[in-house]
This record gives sequence, structure tokens and C-alpha cells, in this order.
Amino acid sequence: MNKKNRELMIGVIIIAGLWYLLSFTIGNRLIPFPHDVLSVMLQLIGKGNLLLHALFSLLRLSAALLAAVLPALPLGIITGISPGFDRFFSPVLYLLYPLPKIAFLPIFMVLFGLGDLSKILLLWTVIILQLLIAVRDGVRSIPTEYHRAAETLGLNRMKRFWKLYMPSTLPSLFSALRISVGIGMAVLFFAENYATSYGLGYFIMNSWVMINYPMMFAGILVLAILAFLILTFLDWLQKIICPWES
Amino acid sequence: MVRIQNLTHTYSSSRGIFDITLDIPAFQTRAVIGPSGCGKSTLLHLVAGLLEPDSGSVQTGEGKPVKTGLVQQKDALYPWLSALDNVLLGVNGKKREHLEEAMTLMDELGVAETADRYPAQLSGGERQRVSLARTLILKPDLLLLDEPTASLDDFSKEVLQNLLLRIQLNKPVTTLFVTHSLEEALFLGQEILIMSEGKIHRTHRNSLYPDPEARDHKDFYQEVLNLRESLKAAV
Repeated sequence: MNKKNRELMIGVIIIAGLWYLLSFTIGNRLIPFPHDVLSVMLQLIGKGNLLLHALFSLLRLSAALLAAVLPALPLGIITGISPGFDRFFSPVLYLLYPLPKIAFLPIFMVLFGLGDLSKILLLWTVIILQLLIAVRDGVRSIPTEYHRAAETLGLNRMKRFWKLYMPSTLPSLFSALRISVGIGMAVLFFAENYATSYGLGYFIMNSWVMINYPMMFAGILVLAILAFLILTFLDWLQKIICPWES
Repeated sequence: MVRIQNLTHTYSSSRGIFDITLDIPAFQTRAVIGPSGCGKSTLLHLVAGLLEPDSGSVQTGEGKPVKTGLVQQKDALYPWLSALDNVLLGVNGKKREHLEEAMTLMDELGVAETADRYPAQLSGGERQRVSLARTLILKPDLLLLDEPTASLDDFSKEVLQNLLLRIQLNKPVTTLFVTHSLEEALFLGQEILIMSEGKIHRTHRNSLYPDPEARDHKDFYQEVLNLRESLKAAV
């Protein structure tokens, strides 16, 4: 077993240990034992329906992340390099960033319907502001020497964008994406509680309402595994896109 | 020839550079020394076009704009580009067309084998040599060096200094460089300009230049002491 897998195994053992401790102290009717949850989860996966719920959640989150990254990169870079644009755009960012976007859910439902679009857009509003701020700060933290080099080497705007601004912001963008996955999962859980019968949020809440705690915990476990896989994928992607970091 | 005329840039009434006039004949080297804050780097940044002068100009002898190339104290290689891509960064046109030229230059500077490596995988001396190649490939009228060896260990420093002298002897480039090291100024500068409080106070003709073996002679160190006295007198 390599070092990474060993570390992962230790993490799983610690979580399982804490989980068992809670099950024993609080009672396994409220917090079922991990092995019971695992057994339910495997049964549900075998039937295919839990995977379908996970797939719906994954698609919604991926769509929102992708739709946020594409405009956040150029907009964040422009905000970072242009003091004029920054002067009017950053206050807008700061005003919108702390707003509880979930409160606008009824408006999203009216404007974009009850389907996936309103759920993805709700997620998008939460994620994009975070990415914009990360990209802007990434550009701002470019060392002065790099700007001087660009100036004295005569790099034009396009070359500066592709050779300086874009690569310099990628590490901050990936950090923000990782944070967004956690926040996105929480928002998704909320958004999947209306007008849908697919998604992990729906599955977990439905199990809760039916007072089926092993099933509810199985849903939570799949949600955690899904987030773990997305974060691992982002780590891998960062290594591919930013090879100079390793 | 590069002609710097009445160059002034003030930060305050006592800080900046004031009315500097200097001619650098083609393919000659001028070293600038002086205490910290005397305006050495400001002069270099003004000549490089990184700062706007309050007044004055930097032109060729024919009155044309000067194409400058700057090697900074911190090498400023882009960490996400390989050494070769860093060298090709300022080159316009297709990368393929300049590949051979870049590799030849890197070979001359002893960094050809680092072409595919990222800057983080290079030593300080190698990074500075790649940075020099990145500037030289653009064939500047005037090469500006801002304390290029300041962040290097003694061995790398000597390697880079020898390399710079070899360039001056084999493929001369008009050069203006700033240094804190009197030894470096005497090893590489045909004339040494002593700066203080934003002005050039004295010009020291270097009779030992160019001698790759200069550092092995006693005269060299006597000259360092003379230069130190001149510097003290100016400050």
C-alpha cells in the first residue's frame, strides 16, 4: 500500500472510530452503526437508484462549477489588472458576496422554472462570486518582477493574458474550486428539496421524513464519497494543468 | 551609441535622480555603483521604460528610441514555463522559427540541458543565465543588468561574471549595469559611474578591463581599494 492510500485508510479508520463512538453513546437508532449503513448503502447501490441520485447531484454541481469557471476567469483577471474596472466591480462583488442566495430561491423558481435550471443557477450564484474574488486576488498577487519582465520583453495584451495572468491565477482558482465543492454540496442539498425526485438532497430528506435513519446515513455517506471523488479529481486536474507546482 | 540626456525623475525634493547625462558608446559597458537609495535602480528603470521621466530622454546616437533588455536582480522567470519557453517568451512569431537560435544561446550560456525544466528545478545561477538568454535573444540595443549576481552564491556569481565578460569580448552588447560589488564593477565595467543622491558624482576609467584573469592579480584588489576611496569621497 502506498503512502497516500495508507493515509486515506487512517482517515477512514478515524472517522469510522468516531462514528462507532457516537453510535454507542447516543444510540444506534438515531445514529446507526457504520457497518449497518454500509450494508444499506451497498444494497441501494446494487439496485442502482442511489447511484442515480448521486449522478443527478454530480451533474447539477458540475454544470454550476463549469458555468462559473468560464466567466470567472476572464472577469476576475480584468478586475485584478484594471484599477478602473476594479473600482466599480469590486464593491458590487462585496455587496453580493455575503447575501444569502438561497433566500432568492422563490425568484429563481418563478424566473427559471422548477426544473434543473433554477437549481443550477442557484448553485452558480453561490460559486461564481467566490471564484471571481479568488481569481482577482490571484492576479493581484503576481510579483512586480513578473510585470516588469512582461513590460521589458514587450508582451502584448494577448500574450500577457495567456502567459502571465491566466497561469498565475490557476492555483488560486483550484483552491476556490475546492472550497466551492463543499459549499456547493450544502446548497445542492437544499436545492434538491423542491420539485425533484432525484438527487442526494432529495434522497436524504426523503429518508429523514420516512424516519429511515440507516438510509438517510447511506445518502450522507454517498454525498461524502461524491465530494471526496470530486476533490480528488480536482487535485489530479491541478497536477495536470499546473505541472510546475509539483 | 546610447545617449541619456538630462534624465530626471523625482520621488521627493531629495529622492530620485536629477539631471543625469551619459553617453555609452556602442558595445561598451558602464557599471553604476553607489550607496543604497542613491537612485541606481531608478536610473535603470527609467532607461528600461518602466518609469516615466519628469524630463530628459534616452535615445540612440541617431535620435531613435533605444530597444532595451533588462535582467533583474530576482530572475523573474515565469514558474509555469519551461526554461526554453521562458527564453522564447518575448519572441514574436512562431516558436519553431526561433527554437534553434534559443538553443544556441542557451548552449553558449551553459543552460542548454535545462531547456525542458521548470525554473523551480534550476539553481539560482542557472535561473539567472536563462533570464540573460531571455533578454539577449531579443537583441537589445542596450542591455540593462540590475544587480544580476546579488542573490547568487560566490561560485555562481563568479560563473555569471565570467560569462558576462565573455559575452562582452565575443559578442559585445552595449551594457549598463548596477551593482553593489566594487569587484564586480571593476571586473565588468569599462567605466564605473559613482552615484550619490541621484547624481553621477564621478566617473572612474577602468584600466584593468577587460581581463578574465584580473581577479588573480594584486593590482585588481589595489584598484578595488582605490574605488572604495572614490566612493567614500563621493558619498
